[in-house]
Order: sequence, then C-alpha cells, then structure tokens
Amino acid sequence: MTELLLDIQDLCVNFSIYEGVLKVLNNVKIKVRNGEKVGLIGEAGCGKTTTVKTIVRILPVPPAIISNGKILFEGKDTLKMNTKDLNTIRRKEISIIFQDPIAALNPVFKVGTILGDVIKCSSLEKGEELSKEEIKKKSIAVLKEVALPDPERLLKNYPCQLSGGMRQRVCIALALACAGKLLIADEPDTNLDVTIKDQVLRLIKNLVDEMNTSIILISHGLGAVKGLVDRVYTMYAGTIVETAPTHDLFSDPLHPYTRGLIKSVPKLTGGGIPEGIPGRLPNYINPPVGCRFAPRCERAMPICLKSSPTLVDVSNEHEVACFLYGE
Amino acid sequence: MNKENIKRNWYKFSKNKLSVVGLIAVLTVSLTAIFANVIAPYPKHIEWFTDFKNAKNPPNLQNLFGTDLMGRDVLSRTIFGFRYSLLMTVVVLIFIVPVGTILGLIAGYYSGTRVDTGIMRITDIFLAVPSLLLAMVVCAFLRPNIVNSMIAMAIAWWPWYTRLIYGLTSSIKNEYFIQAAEIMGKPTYQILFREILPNCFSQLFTKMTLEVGWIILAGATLSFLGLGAQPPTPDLGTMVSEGYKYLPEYWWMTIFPCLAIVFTILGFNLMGDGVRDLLSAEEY
Amino acid sequence: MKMSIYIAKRLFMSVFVLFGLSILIFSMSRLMPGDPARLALGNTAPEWKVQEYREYLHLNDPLYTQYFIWLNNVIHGDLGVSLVTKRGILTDIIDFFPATFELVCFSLIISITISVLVGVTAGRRANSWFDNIARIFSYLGISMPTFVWAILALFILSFMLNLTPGSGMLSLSLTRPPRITGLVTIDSLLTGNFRAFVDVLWHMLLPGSALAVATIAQHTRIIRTSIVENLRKDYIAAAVSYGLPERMINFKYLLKPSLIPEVSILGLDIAASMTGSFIVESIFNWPGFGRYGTIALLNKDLNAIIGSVMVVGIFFAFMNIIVDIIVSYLDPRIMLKA
Repeated sequence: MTELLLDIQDLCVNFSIYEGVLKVLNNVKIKVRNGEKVGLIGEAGCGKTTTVKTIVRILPVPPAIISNGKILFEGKDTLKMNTKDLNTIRRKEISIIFQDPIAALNPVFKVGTILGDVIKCSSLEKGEELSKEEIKKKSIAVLKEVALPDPERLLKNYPCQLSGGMRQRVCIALALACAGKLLIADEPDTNLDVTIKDQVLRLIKNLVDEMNTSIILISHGLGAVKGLVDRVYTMYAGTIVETAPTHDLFSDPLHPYTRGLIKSVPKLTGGGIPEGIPGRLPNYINPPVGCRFAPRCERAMPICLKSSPTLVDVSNEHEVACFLYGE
Repeated sequence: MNKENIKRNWYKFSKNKLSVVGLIAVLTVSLTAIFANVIAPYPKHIEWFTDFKNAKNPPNLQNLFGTDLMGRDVLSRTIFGFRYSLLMTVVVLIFIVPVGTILGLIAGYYSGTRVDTGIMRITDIFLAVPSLLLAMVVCAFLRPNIVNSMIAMAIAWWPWYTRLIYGLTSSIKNEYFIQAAEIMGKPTYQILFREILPNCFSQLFTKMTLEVGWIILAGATLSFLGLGAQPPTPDLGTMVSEGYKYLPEYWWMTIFPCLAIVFTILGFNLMGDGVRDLLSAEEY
Repeated sequence: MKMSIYIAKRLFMSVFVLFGLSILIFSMSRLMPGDPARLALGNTAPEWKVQEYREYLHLNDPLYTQYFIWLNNVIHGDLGVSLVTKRGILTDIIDFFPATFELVCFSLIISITISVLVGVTAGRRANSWFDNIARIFSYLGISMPTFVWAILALFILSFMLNLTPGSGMLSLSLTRPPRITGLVTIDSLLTGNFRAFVDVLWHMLLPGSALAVATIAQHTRIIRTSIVENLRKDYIAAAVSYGLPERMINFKYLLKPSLIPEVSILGLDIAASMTGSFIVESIFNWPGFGRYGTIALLNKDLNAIIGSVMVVGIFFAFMNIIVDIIVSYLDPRIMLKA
C-alpha cells in the first residue's frame, strides 16, 4: 500500500462572528495517497474550501479558529509547522487553483510579474537561482502548458484584460509553477461557462496524468468528478459522510445524502425532473446534536438525532458515516 | 426600525469603544449647548461686560477656567461657544444638504445630457480651490460676522454633496427597478425622491456625520482669522485669536477654548466613524 | 485611452474650470454688498480717495466690462496693484510663492514618509498596541484645526522649552542667500552657505510640522484601513499559498493596491496644505504666499485676493492632474477601462 501523502485527522474549525461561533468543520477526515486523485463533493457552504485553505494555512486566523485536529503532510503536521517549513511546502509541494480567478489575481500587477515571482521563489526553494531571462522562458513554458495562446504578449497583460477562461488558466499556470506532490483544484469550473468548463477540466486531467501528482478536485459537477478522480469524498455541513472509489460511489451510494445528490442529476434518458433534497444546510451556530444530516434525512432513526455517527468501513475501501450501516 | 434592528445596530456600533466615547462627547456638547443658559455660571459675560479688577485671573474656584482680558469668565464663554459652533453647523447643513442633494439627483438622473454637464461644471468651478479657502474669500468680501461666515461656508461646501449624490444617482439609475418605475409612468420627482434617494441615505448620513467635524473646524478657523464671529461673541475660534497673543503667561485664555474645539470635533469624528462602520456592508 | 489624450483632455477641462473660477470670484468681489472701494480703503479714508479708487476699479462700468478689462490686464501680466504693499500683485506673488512652496514640500515629505511607515505597520499589526496608539494620534490630528496645532506647538516647543525659533524664516543675524531659484534652502546650498541652510531648516521645522500634522493623521488612517482591507482579499491569500515571502507580499503586492486610495486624496491634501499655509504662515510669520494672502483677505485688498485665489486654483488644478497620472500608473484598470 502506497504511503499516505496527506492525512487530515479529525479537523475542527470554528469561525467567531457577531451572532456567535460557527462550528463549521466537524471532525473532517480525508486521506490522499501518493499519486491518487481524490474528489470532494458537496453543497455550497458545506466547508470544502475551508478545509483546503486550512491545509496550507491561508485561513484568516481570527475569525477562524482551528480547534482540533491534525493535518499530516508526508507525516508532518502542517498545523504545527513554523513559517519556514510551511513556505517550503507552499513553494514546491502543495498548490491551490482558486475558485474565482478575478479575485485571486492581483489586479494591479501584470500577469508576467506575478508568474515571474512565483517561479523565482519556487526555484529558489529547489536550490536554483534563475536569471531574469530564464524566469521569462519558464513563464512562457508554463503558459504554453495550459494552452494559452501568445504567451509572450500575455505576460504583459493585466488580469482585467483577459477573458474568464484565460484567467482561470493563468491561475492553473500559477499553481503548476509551484506544484509538486499535491494539486488542489477548488471548483475550477464553477465560474466558467459551459464550453470553457470542459476544456479546463480536460486540461487539468492531462496535466495531472502527465505529472503524476496527487490532486484534490472540488466540484459541484458530479460529472466532472466522475471522469477525473479515483476516489470521492462526500461532505455535508462540515462532515465527511461517505468515501469510496469513484465507481463504487456512483454505482452503489450508501449514505442518504450521497444518494440524494446522485439522484438530483437530471438524466438524459428521461424519467422526468428529479427531486432535489428538501431542506437546507443546518445553522452552524447551533448544529444538530446528532448527525448533521438527520433533519433532512428521509431514513432518520431516533439515534441519529442523539449521537453523531463516525466513518466506518463497510466494504472494500467504502466508508460511511451513518447509523444505517454498522456501529 | 424595529427593536431587534436597533439592538443589533447598537451592538455593532458599540463594538468599537471609541465610537461610544464619541457619542458621549457629542451628547455632552449638544446638551451643554442647548442648556447653556442654565449651566454657565456667569451667563452675562458673553456680552459687552467688563470687570477689570478680576481680569486675567488664572483658574480659581470662582472662575474654573480663569478670566480673560476683560474680566469675563472663560468657562461661561466656552459653554456658550459650544452653542455657536453647533448652531453654525446645523444651519450650514440645513442649507447645503438639500441643495446639494437635489442638484446631485437631477444631474445624476439626467447624466449625459446638458443638464448634467452644466451642473457638474458649476460644481467643478466651486471646487477648483480648497473649500476652506473659498469660504475665507467669501467672508473677506462680506462684513465679518457669524451669519456671513455661515453663508460663506454654505457657498463653499454644497458642491461636495452634489458630487456624492451625483455619483450614487448615476449608478443607481441604471438599475432595473428604476427602469421599471419609468416604464410604469411614475413622475420623475417620485422616481428621484422615492426610489433613488432612499438608496443614498446611508452614504449621505455617514458623510454628514463626518462633515460636522470639518464644518466646526472651518468655522473656528474663520473666526480665528477674524473673518467670522467678532468680539464680544463668545465663539471658540474668536476666543483663541483674542488670547493667543498673550501666550504663555495667560495660557488659560487660549488653551481652554482650544481644548473645547478639539473635544467637539474629536467627538463628532469618533462617532462618525462608528456610524460609517455601522452603515457599510460588513462580513465577519 | 492613451495617456497623452487623457492629459490633453484634463488640461482643457482645467482651463475651462479656471475661467469659470475667475468669473465667479471676480463677480463676487464686485457684487458684494456695500461699496467695494469704501470697504477696501476703510471708513477713515477721504471721499476723493475712494472716488479715485472707484474709477481705478472701473466700478461704474457694467460687470462684464470690468471683467474683460481685468482679464485683458491679466493676459498682459498685470494683476493689479496691491493696496497693502503698493507693488504689482504679480511681483508680490512671484516674490512670496517660493517660500510657501518650500514649506509645503517640506511638510509633504514628512507626511508621506511618516504616514506610509506608520500606516503599513499599523495595518499589518491591526488591533495591536501600536495600531491603537496610532489610531488615537490620527483621530487627534484630524480633530485639531491647523491653528490649534500651530499654537500648541508654539506654546510647548518655543515658549516652554525654548527649542525652536518662534517666527520668521532666518535669524536676524544672517543674511538671505542670493536669489537663484527663490527657494532659500536650495539657494543656500548652491552658494555653500551651510549656516543659512541649517538655520532655515530649523525655522521651517515648526510651521512645516504644523502643516503636516493633519495630512499625516488622515493618510495614516487611510493607508491602515486600505492595508487591513486588502489583507483579507483573495489575491493575498493566493500569494501566500504560492509561498511568496512575507516581505515581498507586504511591500509589493499589498502596498501597491493599498496606496491607491491614499494617492487619490493626495491632491486634496496639497490643497489643504495651501489653505493651511495661510494660517500657519500668519502665526509663525513665515514670509510666504500664505501670509500675503491672509493679509490681503483681512485688508480686503480686492485685486490681491483675486490674484491669490487664481494662483491657488492653478496650482491645485496642476497638482490634481499629476496625482491622476500617478493613480493611473498605480491602478491600470482606470486607464484600461476608459
């Protein structure tokens, strides 16, 4: 069994705001092995972005508070690392492709400046010091890898001069420039229109296959996830409710929430308009005492409202957090 | 504004201790100004009054802030000074806010036309020199007294409101709900006052609160230079200008009015900041 | 939109606005209640003198005639004669302006340096003791009128501690260096007169600082707020996630966008400095344009007032254009969107 690259154990993150304390992440457990491709799906607001931001510790620490848990990257806990080690990881091991490219790119700097600086720092970390010429060459190379036309001219442009799809590819390029073992793609397709979505996802797939990096792909689109990853994690209200190899999850979803999600996708084969999952995400200030999905679950039992289920292994690498199975 | 809203707003406002301090200062100054007749120990001293035997006394039990050159009680004059400062501010605001807002609404609504260009060019002309300087110049052309300094400040300050409202109106007027109102045939004045204006309230109110400090500052400066209130009016700026030539021996004649000015402006600025934080959109 | 077109547009607008300003001020000066000539010369002046002055000012002609005569004179370089100095107003202004320019430059250099240093530090360490003290000073600085600062500074430093001279530009024992640029500091450096140079700087300290205070107070707050706001932005989180070093993020990626609101109001602050110079120069007896203007205002020296206002207007318009150019360099979105 290949070693664990990333092991998130029992992560709990709270946010303190005016109305009280939002207990967002509730014992999140995610494991990623070397070379493995992992998908993370869930509704908007369920804590996916918060989880990945915590991995490289770019959450704004007040108001966020990490109240419990460990994040082991290659055995070392990133939550306890000092800045120097953390920066090493950021520069050559883990990188994030952000969800909203217009927000993630500093509007007053040229693309070339930002990309150049990222490449410079990343190379320095690897021990090489590059000249301006070399940095420029590398920048053009990275931009070519993400299939951007006319990279030389692009370096001189500002983010506001680019289209949405181009910006997203620049973000991917930036992540590639400092990527190593783990790439995290936070909903890279959400802010794009349909035709570009497909291109960007294919691009990511190709790059990941070529470089043999691990990836955590967060997405709303189940189809995107299905085609790209080996294993899927389902998240609801800050809790991991199910995880399984992709094929198993889609052919035999166990958790009622995953079932509901998969049923919500309209099928071209007909059958009418599917129902959604009635209800909404719980109030994070007073989350349900037991299972967080229980209020919306059609198969809820009395025990579901009282205590919180943990992830149990049901069959071949298929884990569920539900009282219907095991415990 | 129901009870829950008020409580929530108060919580947000009071989170910043300094804003609460500002609110207390403003209330103190306002109450002092309103009840000046009752609070001041020697109310007669604000007019032509001389008592040379008691002149130039340092602060003592009878005159907590000392007496000035004419023997007048500095404390009483300072208390009445608050009244003049606030009066000036209120009068100036009563004039500039409606005028500036209406012009801004019209210019913004008809933006792109000659009405817009006309109004905004006039605004630009008035803002071609710093407002305080313009007020000083207008004062110089008129007889120096408190009413004329109010007129001067009104003439210098109205364009700011026009600009603010113009900016807001020109962006709001492109929103769908305005177009809907136009299609429905609503008369223009209703669109301006019932649809657009309420959306400007929070920024307008914030600006007004922060502006009070500037107006008091400008008024004090005008009086200090001799362009505003004249003796024996106990305007705070005038008191400073009368007294500062006698520094450092008779320091109390100048320092106490100075402190009063700073206290007032500081209070309004602190409170205004709290109001601005309250009214601007906030996440955690 | 290209930069050159932008500048040309702005210049054209400024000329138009300045014309409007001249009409406004001129009309105000001639239309004020009471007889302008009498008010200018005072109540004790004999009637024939007032009559003479009335004719000199062409007060009996219709307003537009008066304006065009004045405008014609101005184009030929004659702004009129000052009632106070009895010299040509243009000569006066050329004489006095450099001293004010020196003072304003000095105060701007102090303000920008201090406000950037303090603002950035306070912003990065938001809510620390440093930030809180900086905030208190900012509030005080904004809340004190310039003259209050000037008087307090005069009181404490000059009278109580006897540290700095209380008035004037140059100690009586020294002579003014020959007039090369008109700026006494530069002139004294150019002629190698170091004693005078140090002496002038020493004299400039109090009035310059009094002028700078309000600007420092405001800019520190704006930079601090800007930094705090931009720290929360996604692009800073992204920069951190790419592993960019903290110093680079602070002084490059955070500073540039944060400076934009500050530079935008720099134009206004230069204007405020000019107004402030009227007050500060009067209190400290600094022989500059501000003091000249204040005397003109108090003495109702009509043509001098108009001349002074126009000079301020021109300077202000010019500085605004420069500030706009700097801002569009800092924020390329402005030029690209236009």
